[in-house]
Formats: sequence, C-alpha cells, structure tokens
Amino acid sequence: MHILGISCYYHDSSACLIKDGIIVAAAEEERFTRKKHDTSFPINAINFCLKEAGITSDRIDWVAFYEKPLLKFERLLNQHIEMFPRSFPMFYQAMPNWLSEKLRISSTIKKKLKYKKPVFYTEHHMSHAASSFLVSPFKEAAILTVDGIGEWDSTTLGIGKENDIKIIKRLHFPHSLGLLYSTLTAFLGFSVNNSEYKVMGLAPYGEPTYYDEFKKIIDIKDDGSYKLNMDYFVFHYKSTMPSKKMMELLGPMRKKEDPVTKRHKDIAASLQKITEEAIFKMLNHLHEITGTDNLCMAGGVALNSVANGKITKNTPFKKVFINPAAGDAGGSMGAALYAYNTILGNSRKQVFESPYLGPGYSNEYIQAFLEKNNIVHSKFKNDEELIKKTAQLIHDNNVIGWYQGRMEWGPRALGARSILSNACNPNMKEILNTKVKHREHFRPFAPVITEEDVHEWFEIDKDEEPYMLFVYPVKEDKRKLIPSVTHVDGSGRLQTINNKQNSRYYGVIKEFEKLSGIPILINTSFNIRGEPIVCSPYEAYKCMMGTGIDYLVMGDFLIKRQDNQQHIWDSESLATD
Amino acid sequence: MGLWSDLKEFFHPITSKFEWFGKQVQKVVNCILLLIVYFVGVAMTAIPAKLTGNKFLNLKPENKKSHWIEQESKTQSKEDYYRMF
Repeated sequence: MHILGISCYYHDSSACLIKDGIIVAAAEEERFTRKKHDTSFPINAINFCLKEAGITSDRIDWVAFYEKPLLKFERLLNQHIEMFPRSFPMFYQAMPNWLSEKLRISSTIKKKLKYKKPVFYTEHHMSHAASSFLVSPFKEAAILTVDGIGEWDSTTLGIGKENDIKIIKRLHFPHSLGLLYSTLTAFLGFSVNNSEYKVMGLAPYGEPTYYDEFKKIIDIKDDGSYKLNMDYFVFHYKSTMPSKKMMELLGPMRKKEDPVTKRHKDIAASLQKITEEAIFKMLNHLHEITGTDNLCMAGGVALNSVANGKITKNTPFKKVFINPAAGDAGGSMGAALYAYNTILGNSRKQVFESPYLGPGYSNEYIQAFLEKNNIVHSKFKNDEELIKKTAQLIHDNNVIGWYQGRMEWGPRALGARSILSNACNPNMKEILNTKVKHREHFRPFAPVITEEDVHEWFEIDKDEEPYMLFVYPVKEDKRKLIPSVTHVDGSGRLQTINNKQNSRYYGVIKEFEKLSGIPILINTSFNIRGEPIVCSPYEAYKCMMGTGIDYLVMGDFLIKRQDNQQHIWDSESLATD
Repeated sequence: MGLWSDLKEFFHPITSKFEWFGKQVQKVVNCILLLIVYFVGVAMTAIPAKLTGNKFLNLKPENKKSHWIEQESKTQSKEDYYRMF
C-alpha cells in the first residue's frame, strides 16, 4: 500500500511516500525549485518520491494532506471579522491565494496526480505529533507540539500509544509561542519563518535583562499554559508582527542593516529564557498528566535546540525523540504515517533511523555530468583512499564540499550535503565565513563527532544525537581544542555519527582523529547564502565554484576548484539573505 | 521561427506595456471585488457582532488558573478524515 503525504501552501512544502508503513522517500520542494522555504504545491518532491519508489501516480493508494484547509480558513475569517476594519489590507493580501490555491487543494491533487479517491485531511498539529511519535522508538510517549500556528491550535499536549495518538489539551490562536518567537525575530531585524535560529544563536551573547518586560508580554501559568498580551502584537490583522507598544517596552525595532547591539543581544537572551520557561513548565505538566518518561516533540519550536538540550535536566522526561524535519515540512510524513497507522489501523512498522531520504545520484551520473561539462576531476580507487585523502585535505585547513549518497530530510546537513572543515583551527570560523558562508559573526558552526567519543567531549545525557537537534555544553577542558565549534557560552549543536549510519562520513572523522587527535569536524550546510541546501551534482559544483570551497568530494570523485578556473563565479553577487 | 521571434522582439516594448497595464487593471478589479466582499461579507457579520459584544478571537487578558483548553475525547471514523474541516 502506497500512501503519499503532502504539506504545502504555508511554508516548507514537502512530500513523503510510505510503502506498507515504511518510509521510501521524503523531500522538501525547495531543494528542487531552489526557492528557500518554497510554499508551492510540491510537484517536484512528489515526482521524486514516485520515481524513488518506482511507481507512477496511479499506484498511489491514498493521499494525506497535513492540515484541514477549511478549519484554517474559518480561523482566518474570524480574524478578519474580529479585527474589522483594520484587517482589510491583510484580507486583500491573503484572499486571492486562498481562493485560487489553498481551498482548491483537493482538485489540485486530483488534477496534478490524476488521483480519484478521497484525500485524508489530518489536523496540522496531529500531523506534527504523528511525524514524531509514529516513527519514535517508543510504544508509549507523551507528545508536545508547539509551532506558530496550525488551523486554530498553536500548542498541543497529547499521548501516543502503539498506533494511536490522543490530543489532551490545546492552546488556540493568537496565543502562540512560535508567533512570539517570530515576532521578536522580526523585531530584531531578521526574516520571519527563516531566521529564528539566528535569534537563538544570538541569545548566549546577551543577559536576560528584559525578562521582566517579557513577563508583561506573555502570561505563563504554572501548568505551562500561556497567553500573549495582544496589546504588544499586530500579527492577527497585519503582515507586520510587533505593535508600537512593544517598541515602547523594548525600544526601537532593529533594521536589517543596523548593527547588533547589547540591547538586541539582551532581548534575544530574554526571549530564549522565557521560551525555555514556557516549554519546561508545559513539559512538567505533560509528564504529570501522562505519567510516561518518554517524550516526542514536533512543530517549529521543537527546532529550538538550545531548549531541547536542557529538557532532561529541567523536566522528569528521560528520553526525547524529535523528527529531524520537526517544522511544517515534517507534516507530510506525519500525515502519511497517521493515515497508515491510525486512520487505516495498521501497526507501526518503522523506527526513524536514517535521515537520508532524499534524492541520490549514482557515480555513473556524476561521472557523465563531470565529463559533459569538461570538469577536471580525479576518481578515488576505493573508500580507503577517499577517506584518507579527504581527512588530509581537512587537516590541511581546506574547506570541503561533501556530497555523498541521498540528501538529508529536514533543515540540517547531516553528512550527505555538508561542508566539512577543521574544527581545531581557531581561524576556521573566519575562513568559512570569508570563503563560503558570509554569516553574521555571532552565529556558531556545528560539530560532528564520532558516537563513541561523545561523552569524552560533551556533557551529554544520552549516547547519540544523530540529527543535530540538541545543544550540549562542550566539556570545559576540551573547549580550547575545538574553538571553531564552541559557542560563546561553551556549547555546541552537535551531531553524532557511527559507522552504520554513514560509513564514509564516519571514516573521514576517524581518519582526521588519527592526524589531529580530535574526532570532531565542523559540519555546516552545503549551500550558497540565501539558497536551499544543494540537491543535484550540478548545484553542488555550482556552489563550490561560486564560493571559496576548495575541494568537492562528490560520490567517488574529487574536484579541485583551482583546476576549473573557467567556471569560477561570485555567488555573493546573487546572495539575498 | 526567425520571423516570429523577430516580430516578437519588435513588438516587445508594446506587449510589455500592455502586460503592465493588464496587471494594473487586475489589481484595481481585485481590489474593488475584495472591497465589496469585505464590506458586504465581513462587515455584515462584524458590525452586529461588535454591537452585541460577540467575540471571534480571544484577545483580552483573563484571570484564569490555566489557559489550557481541554480536548473532548472522540473517536473519528475514516470518513471524518475526508472532510477539509
């Protein structure tokens, strides 16, 4: 039985195909269209999923959509009615899309996929819950979903048992922790639904001196339920988010080009503190009402890796699982799994073990691409040579584009479409920023470490963290050894890797350890600034030639940038973010 | 093909201006239609609601012990999931 899950029309469109309860393929549409956070109908992602499964659309048994569009439309109408007449600009902006696209999702699916059966519509937060629980290692778990907004819900508490999920409590729009975080992201001059992680990265540079001001903005009860003071927000009737009153409380909004000052850092720190307070109170209450020590989380707020890393210290939960695509992209996977397991009543068949669910390209394809475009390259004789050479290049402080196997599912590069470099070099953050990433100075780079060494280097409460969703402190005596991946507060958003998960990636780190004594590399996403992570060999090569990446290790091939000067270009001339 | 593309190029300044003009007309028509819908549909509900004190969003601060909304336990059939609401 093939079930296709779809999420689209808000942000991060995606598709996921499962066969008899096993995930065959999943990918975000942005990787194909090259538009970051693409919201459009994910026809390219769907076509990839079908191709990967070796089927055509007539073999799809069920289609599941990740939310209930009419419920969402009802909420939107309620907003316009409540905020009449101030809501007209937003009505004018939103309505054409709703009428031409969002309410016609059923006919779009039928037309584009030639699918004739009914479509399953699952609630937005149920899709989030399913994306985490139904592929978690737990038979029973408490479930917390927190994001900007679904139909009406912004936060839900639930419990999952076997193949069933029950939502127990919920909070409704406009009271949303995700929208609070997004509002402050806008306030600090960053782009909404894109740069929330920048605010999280900025927070450790500040002190939470605005905490008392934030207590006026959000009322958090002891049971974790919360309510926003809507005097400080305008997102319920405007496309902007903070109100004038918020500026009276926190000072003027930062413009994108303004320098980041201590005040901005302190606001970010205070926001992170209040967010963590709300999350931990909710989780303590969730543990109280469910009585289980296992936790599954989903929704955009579950990508707050700083808060995630503190869960077991601040709540009674002992084990936590989060799908690497915890945001809206994960909704397609959740909808498909919920249809298979819960609506159709089948037992669970899979625990999420590999994020490598996207497109992959064979060595033959890569070779043909290189030869067709007259790209100077060499071929490794075997894995051993590839691993040794790559580790040596990294040790020599080269920046490596690492393109291997199938693309990752979710927003993080996890060793399939990564840029790798030397974590021991104190200048590497600067080198990476100058050559490739051009990031704000305050943003950290992330470490990848071999699984067996993680306890030696990090103060971590578990044995593995394969999806880069948790931040943990680097052990104090080790911080000086890996300066490029140690954040200002001594933490790191690490990824652990073992031989089974990705043997080449693991092998390079092990080989690097032989050269440097340190089993850690910098792992950052393989993309041009402002663009999605690369998907095809062409995009990987283009990214290397447009940035300062020194070498590209693509499949079995090694390509040196300096050997292909005819293709060099400047990606910064096109960068938008 | 060559003649066709030459003609297209020759008329390009005119067609692009027509395109621009068409988009402006579309914007005006959209705006008028949406204004009508807004002031007929939304206003006709919003004004009586405001007069009678009906609320469509929970915006005011409340002095409650908890803000959680308890979820009623209900079993849904397969057909319930066919609905977009």
